[in-house]
Amino acid sequence: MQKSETAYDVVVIGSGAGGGTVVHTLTKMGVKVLLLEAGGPLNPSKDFKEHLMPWQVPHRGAGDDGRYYFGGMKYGYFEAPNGYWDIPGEPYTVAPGDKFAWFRSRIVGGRTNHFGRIFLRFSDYDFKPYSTDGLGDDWPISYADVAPYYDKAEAFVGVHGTKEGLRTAPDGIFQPPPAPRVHEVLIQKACAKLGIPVIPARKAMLTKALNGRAACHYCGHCGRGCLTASAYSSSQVQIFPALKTGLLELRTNAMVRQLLVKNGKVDGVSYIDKFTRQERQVKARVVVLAASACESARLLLNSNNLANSSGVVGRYLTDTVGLSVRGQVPALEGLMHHDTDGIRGMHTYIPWWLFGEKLDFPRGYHVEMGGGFAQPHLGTFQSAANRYPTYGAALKQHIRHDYGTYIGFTGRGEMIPNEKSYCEIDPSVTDEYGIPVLRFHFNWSEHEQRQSAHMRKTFTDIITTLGGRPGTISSGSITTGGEVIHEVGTIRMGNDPRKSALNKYQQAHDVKNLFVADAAPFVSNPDKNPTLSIVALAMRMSEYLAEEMRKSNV
Amino acid sequence: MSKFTRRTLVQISALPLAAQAQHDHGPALAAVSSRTGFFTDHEFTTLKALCDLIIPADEVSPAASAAGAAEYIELLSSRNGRLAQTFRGGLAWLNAQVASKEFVNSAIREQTALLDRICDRRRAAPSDKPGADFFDWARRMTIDAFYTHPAGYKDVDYRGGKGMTQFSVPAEALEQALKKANLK
Repeated sequence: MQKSETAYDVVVIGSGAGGGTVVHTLTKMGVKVLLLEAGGPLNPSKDFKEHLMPWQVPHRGAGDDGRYYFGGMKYGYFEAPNGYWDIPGEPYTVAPGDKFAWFRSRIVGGRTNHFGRIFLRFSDYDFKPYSTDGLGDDWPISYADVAPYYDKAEAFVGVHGTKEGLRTAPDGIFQPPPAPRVHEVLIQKACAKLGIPVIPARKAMLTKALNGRAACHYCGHCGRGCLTASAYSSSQVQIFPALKTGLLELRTNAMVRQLLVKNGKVDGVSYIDKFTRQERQVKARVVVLAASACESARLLLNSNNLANSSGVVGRYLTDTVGLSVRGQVPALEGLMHHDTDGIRGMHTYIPWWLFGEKLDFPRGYHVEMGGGFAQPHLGTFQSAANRYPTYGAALKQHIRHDYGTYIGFTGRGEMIPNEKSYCEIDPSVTDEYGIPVLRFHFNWSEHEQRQSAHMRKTFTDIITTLGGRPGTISSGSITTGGEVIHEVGTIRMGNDPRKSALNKYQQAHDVKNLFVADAAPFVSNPDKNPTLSIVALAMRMSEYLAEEMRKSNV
Repeated sequence: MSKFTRRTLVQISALPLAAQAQHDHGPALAAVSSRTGFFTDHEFTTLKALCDLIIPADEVSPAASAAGAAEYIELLSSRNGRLAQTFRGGLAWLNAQVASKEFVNSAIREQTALLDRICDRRRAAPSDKPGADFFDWARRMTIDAFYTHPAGYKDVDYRGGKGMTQFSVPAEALEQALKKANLK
């Protein structure tokens, strides 16, 4: 085993939204940091497939072995090298009878290289769910504690949107949003009849140049990784600039096995170098976990149950509730063709609009939407083939006629933590590095089931109001746990060390020099996508940490 | 655009070129990969004929073969055992159904009469199920190959792939849709 000579001020594990924010914030304050990433390095100009057309690769995006056709490439060949549901040699298990899908990233920048860039603030009531409806637990912090960091995060990352004055969608510091597309204007007008607000989306995409990053060029390929970094990724926006300070060292293919402990404090980190498959150790004054909620929990559980006197590590696992409905809208038939690429996904969305109303489920959801003359890819016209099971000239005409006439809605709802949903160490399975793996337990409760039924009815109503063709309206079912890739809550924060693992600064109650900067500290999982809150809270945590180091408290 | 880096400009300028390809029928841009030789010549000829029955040439665009549909299916079949079995078995099934035992040489009326039996899985006779399952795969992958080729982009008149400096929607398009949806 190789031991590193250098003792680092701070070792950060994981390079996604949380880890990227921590290394950027700390190096700016003069702190010397080592960043460990379990995956490989990232070279955007080589690794991103932005602007590549499908005919430029012989397999058109199906993968060399055609695995697209057998469900092996959920996000497709052209997407950023962001991660996988199944990583060879790195299994996880799911308890019998339960369903859970765990998406993991193994690359510098993690999931931020490809994510939807939806950047929503939590509302004031999102931090106080128990006080609001008696379910779950309150956070140890309030909106007022986080608001200054939301400001900082938005100003630095660059977010577009509009000030709307809605309690369910707090305003932020916004760049101007892109114009809505035709179907989005139609949806807005149909929703107005139903009393449902449709407002400009809020995404971490530049519509104006910022800090040397160019404004968006509206190619619609955001999920492939953005060569101009107009879309936020921790790799391009935080880690690469931090490397230039000379204070950050980045080690890739470093799979952390456990944290090392001495006299009740973390003393360093032990990791496997994936190339040599040898164990290496580094000394650290402070360790920050940012490996993703479940990986961070796994690390603590595999480190002799470190920082877990409360027993909450791995518990309170939640994902976002998802459900989609789509349908064909005759009013869009024959529409003058034009470029609708824009920013990938939606330019407008529906924030939760029924807060405080009497419903048969307690928590809210927001709605994302799709439509337009999408760039054709594998599968784009499969719904037309299903609708018109024919062939020949008639099939071509149907496809032409249907193109651009479908709209779709996807709900993103809050799940309430329940005792049947958690992760733990599987007692009998290890990965190829000999590290014990996670076993998942996951169940939606009737709260989420009823919420998803409400989504289905609402989306169907909107499509019907727009004159959607009956028989073309198809609805999915509630997503599998983990499928929305918003796992949070597995190392929760709180004021009571008996009921939480971290204090309100995401510092372990039991181990003063251990911090967590991903979504594991979240006490609840509001319908607003977690990334902005991960970034804001990681900034807050980093400032606190730097100050505690300055005072020699850690 | 002035704020873009040099590398960015190179990347962006590649875009219109790619998009331009949609408006060119030239063989140089056909982007059809060559045969792998996985299928026998007879199998390949049969497959190509089937692809062109699914997506024939019309006044708007050429047939599936111009987009390399058969080559695409052969390429993936050569690397995927499940696809190989589906297509080999399916092509043999087609041949067995026609009088001459050679689908490719039977009259167009006999070919379409057979496809009419299997083109809708929900209506196919139970005895035709293997053929209907195969046809579903053939149609799916022929559509995929055709519409991921410049010929297919041109057929559906995809106007994107160029990028914009400022995103905008033609007022005329918006007007048209609002009127049609009675939402003005």
